[in-house]
Amino acid sequence: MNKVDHSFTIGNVKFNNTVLTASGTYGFGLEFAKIIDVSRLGGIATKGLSLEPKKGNPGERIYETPAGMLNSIGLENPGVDSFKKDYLPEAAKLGTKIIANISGSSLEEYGLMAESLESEKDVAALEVNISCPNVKAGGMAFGTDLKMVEKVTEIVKKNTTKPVIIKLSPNVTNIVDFAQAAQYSGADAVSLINTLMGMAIDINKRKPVLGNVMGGLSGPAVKPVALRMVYQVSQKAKIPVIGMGGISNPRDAIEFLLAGANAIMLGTINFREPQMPLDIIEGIEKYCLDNGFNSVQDLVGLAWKEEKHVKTNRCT
Amino acid sequence: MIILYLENCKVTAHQQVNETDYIITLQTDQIARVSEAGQFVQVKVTEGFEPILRRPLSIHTVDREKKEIKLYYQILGKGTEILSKVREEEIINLLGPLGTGFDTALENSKALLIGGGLGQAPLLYLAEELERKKNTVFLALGTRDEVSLRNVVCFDDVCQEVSLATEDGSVGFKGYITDNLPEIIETFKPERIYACGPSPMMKKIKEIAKTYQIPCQLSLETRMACGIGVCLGCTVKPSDQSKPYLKACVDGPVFWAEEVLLDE
Ligand SMILES: Cc1cc2nc3c(=O)[nH]c(=O)nc-3n(C[C@H](O)[C@H](O)[C@H](O)COP(=O)(O)OP(=O)(O)OC[C@H]3O[C@@H](n4cnc5c(N)ncnc54)[C@H](O)[C@@H]3O)c2cc1C
Ligand SMILES: Cc1cc2nc3c(=O)[nH]c(=O)nc-3n(C[C@H](O)[C@H](O)[C@H](O)COP(=O)(O)O)c2cc1C
Ligand code: FES
Repeated sequence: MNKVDHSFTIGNVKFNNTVLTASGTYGFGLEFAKIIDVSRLGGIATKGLSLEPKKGNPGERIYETPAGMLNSIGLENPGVDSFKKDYLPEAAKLGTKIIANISGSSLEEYGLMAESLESEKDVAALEVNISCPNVKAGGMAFGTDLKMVEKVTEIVKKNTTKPVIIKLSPNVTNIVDFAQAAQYSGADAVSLINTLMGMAIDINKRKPVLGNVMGGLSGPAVKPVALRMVYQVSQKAKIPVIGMGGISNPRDAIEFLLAGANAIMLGTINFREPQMPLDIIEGIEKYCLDNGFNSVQDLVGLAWKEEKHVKTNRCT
Repeated sequence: MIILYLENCKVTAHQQVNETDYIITLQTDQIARVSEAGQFVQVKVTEGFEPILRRPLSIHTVDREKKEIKLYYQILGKGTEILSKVREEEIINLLGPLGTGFDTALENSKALLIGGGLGQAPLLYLAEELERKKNTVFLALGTRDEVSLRNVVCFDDVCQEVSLATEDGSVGFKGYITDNLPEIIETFKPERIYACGPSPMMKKIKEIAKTYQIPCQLSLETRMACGIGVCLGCTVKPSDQSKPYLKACVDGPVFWAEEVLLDE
């Protein structure tokens, strides 16, 4: 059907398409399967899983902001055992790759979850959430501490043979250091960005809107920040980069590929335009055909590859 | 598997009811065909990113032959403001039908429908369904003032009796409809209560229904992002606190009163 090669590879796993959906915005894929043909996606990152079931945060959990939204879901999920038993068998039938997004509140938990998912043949890869800003005891501390990022990566790698994708937090001074720490510790890929920490205040109640006070910002509003981070990280990383953050149309997706992302994930836009992942796949196909590219991977990083080329010319 | 439809719908009529309320009629092959009373649609109000999210609106009524649905909405903020500017013949994208609607497995019985303000929106479809199943339907509607009641004539054909209350006393009982509820219940002796309205009202109705031991369904509103059960933003507290949160968009918006814990 497609004339262009849309595939990309992480570790020893080949994904059929560079367009995937982001953790926490796609459930386990079952709901969107009622609306679109999800088998055309490169893969689905599951709702963030924890070792034990989690109820999530009380109070208001979402708040709309200009061209974006804040969320403080607090990692509500059925737990890894229920995922394996109740959701994975169904998700596996969707005809796309399932990436289990895992989140631990201690190093040991990350290890235990990786171990627990190791025997699941329907899990194509692990995406390790070290940056979820919502859970007081967990996320934040790992994702913003270089030593912890190394330790988490190591313990997950030790407990799995599946490709490990480390999902980076943008709430750090220099995200490139974190990408390099993950790579150095054996990560097979990095994905970025998770949500940016933010908040909103109800001026009538004179209190924060969100039950959890702070939440993660996502959607078009974060796109320039995310794109910049992908541009920086991909120039230093020797492993594949999955870019996300505000991608809302084919043009945004192509920008991320040119910035250096080998693949992209779509989050918030799914709430508004459930068919957008497919529109983006078609948009990328058309862009490649119109511009003479046989493979989507040929686009990756052209924004800086060209620039380096120009710079070298100037220097010599 | 339940199928959800993403449909481009032509606006065939858009009528202003009063200063803030509108009824929009949309042509939809699929959603009109499969929707049930109490379900809702997610409306994309703009091609721009302001607002970014769709807006959930209840299905006010359905005309299966004409393949039309009506939505009854009030301008509250930017999304509904943009919607109110849409003209006939324009196209709007809907996702639906969504959620678990009212339980209409009721025949030859007596049903009391209680609406507070915009809570009347999903009740017309419900009243029509119940009437079709040979139930006697009684409507109790409470609003701020007389102008908010202008749409009530729609209910005349399907309700045996309509009881009105306004906060300013311009029509019917002066005060909240819930203040008059014990009397309505004692006169009409309903075997089932259905209600939709603001949260304090839902809480009150839950208590009254419990006192009179009448099975009661409540249609609840929360903020929503996805409307299909994936974002987990639309939580409703379950009565059994050891259970996970309920999701207003898939487990609801209609719940049995005893299923849910309502805060102030
Ligand atoms: C299942 C469901 C069915 C609904 N059916 C109808 C209907 O038939 N007719 C109708 O008029 N409305 C209905 N609503 C409410 C409607 O969705 C909101 O009024 C609308 O989304 C407001 O959008 P806006 O952009 O105009 O306002 P916004 O600019 O988003 O908001 C204006 C103000 O209202 C507050 N607000 C908005 N939505 C909510 C909410 N859900 N909970 C608490 N505060 C809120 C905001 O904080 C803000 O202060 C329904 C809601 C749900 C969840
Ligand atoms: C409602 C919601 C829930 C999310 N839950 C998770 C999660 O459980 N784990 C995770 O790694 N990221 C989670 N994210 C972050 C997204 O996967 C993504 O990194 C972020 O939203 C940026 O992409 P976007 O702007 O396209 O949405 C969540 C985002 C949203 C909006
Ligand atoms: S609105 Fe997203 S889960 Fe209900």
